[in-house]
Amino acid sequence: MMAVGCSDPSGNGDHSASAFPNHRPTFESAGRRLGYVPNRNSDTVSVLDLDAMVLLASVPVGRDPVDIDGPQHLVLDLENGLGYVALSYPFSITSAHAVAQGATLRSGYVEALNLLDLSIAGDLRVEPKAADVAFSPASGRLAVAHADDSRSLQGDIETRRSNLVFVDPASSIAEGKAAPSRLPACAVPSTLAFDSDGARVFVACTGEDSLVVVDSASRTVLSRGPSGPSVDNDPAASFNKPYGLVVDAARQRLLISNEVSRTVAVFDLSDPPTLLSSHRVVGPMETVDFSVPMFPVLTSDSTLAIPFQSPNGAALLDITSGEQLHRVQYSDDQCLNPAEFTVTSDSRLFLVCEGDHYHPGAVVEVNPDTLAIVASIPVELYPERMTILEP
Amino acid sequence: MKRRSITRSANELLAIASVLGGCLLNACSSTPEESAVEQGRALYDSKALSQSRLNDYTCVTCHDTVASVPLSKKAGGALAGVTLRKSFWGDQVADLLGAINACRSSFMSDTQPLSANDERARSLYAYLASLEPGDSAPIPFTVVNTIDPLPRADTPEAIADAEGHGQLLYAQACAYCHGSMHDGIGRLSSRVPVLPEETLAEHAQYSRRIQRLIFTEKIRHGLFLGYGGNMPPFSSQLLSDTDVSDLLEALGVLGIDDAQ
Repeated sequence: MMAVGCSDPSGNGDHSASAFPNHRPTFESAGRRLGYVPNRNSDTVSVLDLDAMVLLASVPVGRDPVDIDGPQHLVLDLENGLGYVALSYPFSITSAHAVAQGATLRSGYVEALNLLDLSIAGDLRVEPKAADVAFSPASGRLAVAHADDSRSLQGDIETRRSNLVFVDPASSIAEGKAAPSRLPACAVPSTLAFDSDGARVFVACTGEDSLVVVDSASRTVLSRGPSGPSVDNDPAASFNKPYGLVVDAARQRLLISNEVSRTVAVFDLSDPPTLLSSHRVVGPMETVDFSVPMFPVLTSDSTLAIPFQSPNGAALLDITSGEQLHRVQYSDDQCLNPAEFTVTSDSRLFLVCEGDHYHPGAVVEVNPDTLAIVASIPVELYPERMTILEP
Repeated sequence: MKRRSITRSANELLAIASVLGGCLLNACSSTPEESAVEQGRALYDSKALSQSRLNDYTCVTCHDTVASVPLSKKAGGALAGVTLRKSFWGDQVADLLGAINACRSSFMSDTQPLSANDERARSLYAYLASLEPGDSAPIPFTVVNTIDPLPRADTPEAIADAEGHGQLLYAQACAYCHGSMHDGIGRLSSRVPVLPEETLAEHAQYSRRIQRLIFTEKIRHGLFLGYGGNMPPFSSQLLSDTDVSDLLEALGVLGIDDAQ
């Protein structure tokens, strides 16, 4: 543009071809097992080398250089070399002017990141309190749940329900031409996951105390049911409050952690899902022991590993016999607020420790048999979940 | 986009034409590298980096090129060495173009990001690179999230010292945008409030104590954290709590309600 009329043959803009060199660290897998951990209160994603047990880098993500973007969960789209992270924009404003002037919830976003260096490939505005994001490698679809509790005072159940947002294909976010579709699925959903072929999405609907199943192609609700054990004609005894939801596609199991009943419910993946069993961590009788379960994992066909909070701990249970095989407690220094177990293809077991949300959390490796911590990597503020890229 | 270009003000077109014209003249009489640097220098000092007619800012508004001694109180860091830095905005942005676009979006009212291939971006980069080596270390930038009441000095002598220091800080940190205290002479535009009168008038419904908190909040948060507008935040490294208290002393925003 600037060199019009000049005779210099090089005056075509090539003089600044090296503008804005990329100083970002890169994260080639190169046979390594990598872990991606969003840090909600730092607005970063920590990338871990889980073989060497080192932190490679914590990279800023998000759209706002000052406010808290609140990245919560990152999912991998390996075919397109992308990761997708939900930006939740938690309402954290307490200042006099902002509150008096009606500062309110901001819309959430899904940000597409280039996996090589976590640079921003694109983003999509969704709705307030984007709580979780799920991706199906089989279908290429993305789904976003919004834990919009500002709707919870509405009298009408349909009005209380926030939208699930679907993006098909997810990679269209990076291309800047995403055409999202919406389905008001349930009130205050927390987490969600696709089945193995991407046909159905399972949603932990905290605000309706239910498990909702959605057909991801037709965007229709297939079923609504209890998220855990229930007692006929006794709603109080049937209250579960689902939070963590994980699909074990290989074992055809759906795991839901319930905060109030303090159970992990194991469902099959039939349509609708059938409750196979539910499990509650048993603690020492002499202590006030809440043991609120978080994101569990199956370490074998029969062994369920459950992290729990209040107090910090973890347990192994046999889902066939219901027997509690092992239970440990962690000190605050070892693992404050255990949040999510993940297991690798070679059966290593990792646990995300949230910390107190104002000081760094950690990812720890635990012995799969004893749950003893064998290694620890500090990350940043308020990690909750880790996504593993297998070599 | 068409509507935006149609409604672009004559002043803005003149500014862009001036930058481009000067650059074109220069481009024909210098090497491509030199002309790119000149184009970038002109953009650095021009509102034309933003295509919004609401923009009052240039890069100079918030940044010096080299760190001054004593240190300037501009809200942004000195830019010499910025091309060598690996993080910006207090480690919240990992690339320079992203940091520039955050400035353009937040303060210069232009939400269309520049791409690395944009001629303006490349020229600006050429100019910034010409400032190397400078300081390649990231500039510390800690936003004060929680706004607490700031105590005043407690003796007449200390109050007089605070007021004098506050006058100096006002000249260093505030006057470039707000003009001189009480009358706004020299301010960037009529959209920038005269301090403290216009801001107090906008918040007349609040007690003096709350007004002092609001001034503190505005200095600390700028447009962020729910406040709005387009003022940059002043980090704790740039202004200490005592500095802010001294500024408020100079402005006469003392937080003393009539009943007290």
